[in-house]
Amino acid sequence: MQNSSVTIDGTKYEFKWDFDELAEAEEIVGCNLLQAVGNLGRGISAKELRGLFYALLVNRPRPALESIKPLFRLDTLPRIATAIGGACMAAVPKPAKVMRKKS
Amino acid sequence: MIAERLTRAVKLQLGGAEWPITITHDVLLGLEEETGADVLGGEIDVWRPSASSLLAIVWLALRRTRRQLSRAQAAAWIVPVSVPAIQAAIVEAWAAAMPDPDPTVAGGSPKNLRWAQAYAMARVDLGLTEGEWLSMTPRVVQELFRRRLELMKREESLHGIVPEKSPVPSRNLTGEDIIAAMGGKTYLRG
Repeated sequence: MQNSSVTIDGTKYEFKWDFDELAEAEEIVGCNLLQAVGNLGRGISAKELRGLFYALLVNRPRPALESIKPLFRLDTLPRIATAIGGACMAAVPKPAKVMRKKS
Repeated sequence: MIAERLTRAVKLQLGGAEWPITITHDVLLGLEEETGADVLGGEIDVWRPSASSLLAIVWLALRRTRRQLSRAQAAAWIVPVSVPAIQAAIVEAWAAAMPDPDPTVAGGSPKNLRWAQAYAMARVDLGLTEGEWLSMTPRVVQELFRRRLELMKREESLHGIVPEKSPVPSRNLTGEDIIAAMGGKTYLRG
């Protein structure tokens, strides 16, 4: 599973699909992150996007929720959404390659 | 396990295996412990579950088949494409496990039933062991209660038959009636 990343103000933020982290973060970010994943690309709220950013972030130590708020700006929102969407897409299992015998 | 055998089978493909999903009292109690939600109070939305609720249900239900399964392992099997199938299985298993709405109660379900009450009713009224109750779905327990109520009603009607067939005096009995019924003799007069 590949990580997806976005660089904001010189800092690289990496994201990776982890359902355990998603479940654990819900109480901290205060929203339903499973619904947030479903809303990616079709009207996700700012709170949901910030929640996914926090939950799927690989960087450690993980920054506090308050400290990531300033990262969400008009110029960064599309890149953040793309990176988080990329992390979710990377979790999709690749179809097994079919080996054909040469006749 | 009896719960799987008495409840409509719901299967979930996850982690390369097929798992039976049955929502027993064990799963429901675990769900409350894992999420802190009031399960009996209806705080779990199975139609729009949170990630924590979904993971807890999946892990607890799968653990009935494989006791050593860790929460992290169950989580690792959940990827975005598998979520819709998991949600559908949970909804189906939930519906199969929950009791039918009670038509005698407003709103269809009894209010204010707490876990301690549910457990006490199962132990005292039905004589279930702790393990039996934990491995049963609420629907199976409801069926046991129904059967017990039917038996109680039958017993009550049997008791009711005896006085119905006894002769009923048309007026209040007097002391003379009683003496006459005893053959005109009293123990006082000999």
